[in-house]
Amino acid sequence: MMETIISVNNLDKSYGKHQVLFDFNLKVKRGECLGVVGPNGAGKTTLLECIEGLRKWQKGEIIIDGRTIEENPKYLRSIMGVQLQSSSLPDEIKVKEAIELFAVEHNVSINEKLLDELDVGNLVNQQYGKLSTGQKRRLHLLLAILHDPEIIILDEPTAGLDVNAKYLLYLKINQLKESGKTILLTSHDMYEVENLCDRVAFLENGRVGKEITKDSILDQDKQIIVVSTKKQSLKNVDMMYSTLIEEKEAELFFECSNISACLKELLEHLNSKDDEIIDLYIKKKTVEEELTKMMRGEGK
Amino acid sequence: MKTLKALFVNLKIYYLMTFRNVFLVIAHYLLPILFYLLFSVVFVGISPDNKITIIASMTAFAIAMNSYIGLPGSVSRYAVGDIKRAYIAGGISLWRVFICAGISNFIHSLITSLVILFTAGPLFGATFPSSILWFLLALLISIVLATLIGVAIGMFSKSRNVATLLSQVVFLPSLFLSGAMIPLDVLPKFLQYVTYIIPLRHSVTLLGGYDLVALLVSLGFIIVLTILLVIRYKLITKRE
Repeated sequence: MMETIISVNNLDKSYGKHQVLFDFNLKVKRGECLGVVGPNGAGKTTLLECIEGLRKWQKGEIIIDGRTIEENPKYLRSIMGVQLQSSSLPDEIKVKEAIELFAVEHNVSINEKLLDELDVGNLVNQQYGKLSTGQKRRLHLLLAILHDPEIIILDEPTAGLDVNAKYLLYLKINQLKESGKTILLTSHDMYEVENLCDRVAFLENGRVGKEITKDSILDQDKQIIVVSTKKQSLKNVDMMYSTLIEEKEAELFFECSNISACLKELLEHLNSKDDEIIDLYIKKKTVEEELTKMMRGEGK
Repeated sequence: MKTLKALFVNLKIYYLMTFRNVFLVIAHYLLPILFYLLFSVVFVGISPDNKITIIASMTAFAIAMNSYIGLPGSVSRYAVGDIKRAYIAGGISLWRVFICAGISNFIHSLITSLVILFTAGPLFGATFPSSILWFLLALLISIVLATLIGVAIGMFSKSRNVATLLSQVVFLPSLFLSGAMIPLDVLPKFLQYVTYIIPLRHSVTLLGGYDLVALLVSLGFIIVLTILLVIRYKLITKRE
């Protein structure tokens, strides 16, 4: 059983009269990648900033690797790598200088391999202000992991990036996961959450509304049959093995546990109504879809 | 050892960054030198007696230009906003950044001051300080004081725009009420009293020659500003 490395206990955080986190509880296990998702204003960034030690809270405690943030902030900075949602450096600083600065502050030498992996090696002589958004994001990720921290916190790491830049970051984040790092990330990109995270905490109104694992969503017993027919005769029909869960234009989405019984039932019905299939396919449930439903307030 | 190395790297980066920002190059070097050349011609033209005070007044002006105009904007970036948060989250010591901002400004001010010291004689026939040791001590105190004021403007400003505005609010009265541009005895009586609260006034006096009151007042300003900056630093770096 994996040990808890971050423990958020009964946290209350408000900005003036506006309370953002309510008696909030969350545990992150060592070596897992936890995604924190939720609509805008749900408290994701506030939560991360409390864990990062940037914000103070009114009630509760945060314990990281057995210590509170107040106990030993220097130690926590040494085991934590942080990429903020809106991060910046002086426009005139060169990439190599920023790397040198962060390396010397953490008393580590510069890992040239890391520079190449994040495609930053060719930017070293450029000034920060002249980098593109993607280049800045890659640099900030590099600075966050330069000292080989045990915990990596990424607040919307791929926001505003193009496909290539995203791919590069996914590769690196997956590599970090494989090397046993604990990763905590927020994102509005459900594909990203599905592909990177082992577990997802869904925030609603300052609390964890739902906590789900990939396995709990990718329930292999249930699959979806998507069918469209000429006469649309499958609408409003009670089936024994399948349940209509969604209609999207001409397509009907049936959830079923027993795929062959379900198919047989659907085909029999179509025959009896003299209806013809235009298209039929079977799809697996994805975490992305389920999370998107939750974001829309249609959670299961 | 690590602290010293980190301080050196911070200082090197901070100093080099100045030369990549046109505004800072203008504020730290071009304007002080240009104004020194222009005003020296004017002052010596108005009265040859000004040759005695030209080094003190122009040096004070250059130091003020460096510290009040060039420094606050670059310091305020680290006191508020995304850079400050990125540095804190990244484990970068902000105190090192502020110290390096001060040292970097000290170097810029020293360079322009020495240019004035060694060229004012050959170019305008200015009188060289009778005691170079005293002048250098006065220069050291004056730069430290002006630098602390510049850092304070940056650290107390809520944004870079506010820092720029505050810079002007401090710089312009300092210029006219310090004796660097206008002799103090031509000012109305009540303004002459006001000049005592202007730190640059005491720098002009110190750079002109030994003056115990100006020395003690300057040191007093330095102590008070240092205390204020330590308190402000604590507030800046505490959790929001």
